[in-house]
Amino acid sequence: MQPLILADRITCRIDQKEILKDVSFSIGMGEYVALIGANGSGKTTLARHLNALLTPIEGNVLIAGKNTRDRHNHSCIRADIGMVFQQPEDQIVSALVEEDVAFGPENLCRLPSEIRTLVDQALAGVLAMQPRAIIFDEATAMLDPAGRRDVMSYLAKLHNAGTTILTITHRMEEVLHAERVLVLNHGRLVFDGTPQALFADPSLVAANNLELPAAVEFKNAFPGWFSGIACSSSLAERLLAAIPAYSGTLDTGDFSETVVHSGGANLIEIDKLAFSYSQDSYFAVPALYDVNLSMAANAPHGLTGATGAGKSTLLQHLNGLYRPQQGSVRVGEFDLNSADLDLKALRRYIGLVFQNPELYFFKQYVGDEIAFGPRMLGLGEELRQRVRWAMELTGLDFENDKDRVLTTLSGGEQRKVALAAGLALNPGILVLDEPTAGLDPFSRRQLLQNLKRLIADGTQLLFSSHQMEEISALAKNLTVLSNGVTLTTAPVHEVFLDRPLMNQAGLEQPFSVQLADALRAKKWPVRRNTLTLTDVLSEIGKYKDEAAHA
Amino acid sequence: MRDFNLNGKMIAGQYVAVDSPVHAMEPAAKLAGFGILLLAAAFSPRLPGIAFGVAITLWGMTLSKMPIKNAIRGLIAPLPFLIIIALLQVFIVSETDPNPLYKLWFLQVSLNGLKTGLLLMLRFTVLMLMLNWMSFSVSPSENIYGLQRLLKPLQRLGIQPMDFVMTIQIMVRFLPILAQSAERIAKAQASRGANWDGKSGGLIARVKRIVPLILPLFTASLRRAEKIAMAMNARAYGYHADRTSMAIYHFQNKDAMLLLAAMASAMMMILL
Repeated sequence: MQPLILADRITCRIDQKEILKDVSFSIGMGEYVALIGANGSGKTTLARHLNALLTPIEGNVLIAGKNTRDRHNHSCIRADIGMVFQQPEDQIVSALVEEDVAFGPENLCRLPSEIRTLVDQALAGVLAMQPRAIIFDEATAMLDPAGRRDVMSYLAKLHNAGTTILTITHRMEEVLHAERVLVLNHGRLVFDGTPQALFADPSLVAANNLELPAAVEFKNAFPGWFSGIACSSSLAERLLAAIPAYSGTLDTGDFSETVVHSGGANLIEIDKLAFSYSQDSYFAVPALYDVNLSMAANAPHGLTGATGAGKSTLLQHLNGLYRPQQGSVRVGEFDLNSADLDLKALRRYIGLVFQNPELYFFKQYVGDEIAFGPRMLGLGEELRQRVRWAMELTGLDFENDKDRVLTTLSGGEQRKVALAAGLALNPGILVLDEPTAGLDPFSRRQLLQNLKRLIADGTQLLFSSHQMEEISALAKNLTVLSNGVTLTTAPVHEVFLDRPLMNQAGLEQPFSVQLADALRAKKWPVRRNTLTLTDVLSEIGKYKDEAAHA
Repeated sequence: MRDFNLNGKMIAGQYVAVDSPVHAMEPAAKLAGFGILLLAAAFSPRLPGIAFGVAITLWGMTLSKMPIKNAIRGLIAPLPFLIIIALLQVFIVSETDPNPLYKLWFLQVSLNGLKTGLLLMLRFTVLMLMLNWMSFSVSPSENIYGLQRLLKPLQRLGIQPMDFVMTIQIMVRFLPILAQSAERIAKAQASRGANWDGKSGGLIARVKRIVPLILPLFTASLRRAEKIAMAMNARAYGYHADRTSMAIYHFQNKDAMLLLAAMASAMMMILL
């Protein structure tokens, strides 16, 4: 039987730069394939070749036997291969949901009555075209845990119904759901096999700037415990169920909880904040109803909640981009409700880095972009020093990197520049909106390390995120928002252990916390404030030998 | 720019699905009606006609269940420009008038000049109100469908109306996107100390503030445009000249009535 998708030695060059080199593979009907690789490895470019949005410079792509080089085939190919893009807002063609969903079938000249039924059934513009295969280009990158879970179960449903699925992702636990995985590295296909085979080779994973799923890492740390369990989509649940009971002596002294101490007065104090966009107009959209937040000094603070909970709106209140419509906001010495607020001084005190900041770079060179803030502050002689300092803090090399053109940087490097640009103001408080969204595992790890170092050096950090692993790695306290209302502000572990609260907010416990919970249920002496996988491993590592004979 | 809410200030171009007789019209008839009214407002030669146009527009807005307060608020932003243009008109027309009402150094004002200025201001007001009303009452796909139907005769001349129609639709869709991009860039710059707030400084200072916005706005818009084009392509746009439409419309008696009413109003605006 001929494969649905056949890539035959495709090579793609853009501006003499090779994006894809000699990539060959085939995907049969009904397969579930994950495509992974670091930022800039060519995943999106490859995906676009499969939908005839791009045609290869060399080699051929055949979709159900039809060559993408022939323009007459394009309509058939696009009816066969649907594509869901990374940024949802980029692929919306019409202003109304219904009309947008109808756009595809209308182009394919389906009958009006038929389109109406399809639109009613469909969840997204692509599905309405009833494609044989769907490519998801990081469809879950911008979603909260609940949304991600929905998409994953939807993919499984589509797969069971016989649709071929190719999903591009940076989240390794999603790879476990696939039957097959393709790994790209600098445009070359370096691995084509099962996820089990990939994750069984940690050196291959590391060489491609990927990482092991947390569950696999845990399984590898205790080979004796889980010998019969294979890597599959339900790996995490099965590991949690298979944890042996602890038989050693209980050391109750270790159970004491550390309480988060604040080092003095609160840095940020928000009380009953409410805000609507286009207030008092026909198009008013309420975003915040009742938000309370206090951030202690020297305690990195996280802000989480489902997509649309109001995180970004809240953060943009802190540096005066939005002013409180109801309630009060105090940041350090600044009263945001006061009419004679010194905005410039406030913005020097609190540095805000936006979500996907690289989309809004406005200079051409790295150095200029970072120098923009300090220059606005009127820094003269010191400017150069300040830029150097900020670049070094984020792991950029001043001499080499300052004259590079921003658009030639990789995703991870661009994020570093954005962070450096925020740091260059030397703010009293650093505020980051979704700092790791869209980064590959390697860049994410690097960014987290940089942030940890900054925290250790005394930076006051407030950040929003719906990546639970990131919150457990960085934050001490956590505020949970849901539909514009604060559910709680508490130490991170208390929030994570409160399962009903997490569900209410559309969040999910990170694997490490689930693991710690499961271990405690089996009487293992794991402290309640253990958050990261590394901590869990080191906690039980001490007792492992005692348990081995259990 | 106190709260950076550029999108909120852009009321124009927002369709709102309401159940009203205007909304329920057959798209081609609706577009034709609006077209006739707009033409009449643009070419109406005398004050009573234009005043009638204002009245008809306000009445039509209530018929569309449109909040009039908002529509009128939308007029405030361009008001200074309107006044400047109207004043210029007053002085230019009055200059050659043999019997001025009032004379100040080399400027003079005549009754005729005042009338022309007022006519111009009212004309722009009516046009803006009508465009607001129209975008409130015609959805993007109705726009496509209606234009497609109205422009069908062009096909005989070998011109494809579809491309033209899609261009217009994407343009309408792009306005809020542009406002959103501008808002984000302004916010990003303000967060890093750029002076975006307050009305301090004269006109030059304010223009200077806009300049650093323009280049990034261009690149961001081009990037977005490319992505939208790709998304349309990915969903098989443009492979059949006569694409189908989900909604089916029929020209009914009530459409004929409203279209006739629009034609009659247009006649009044020209003749009064």
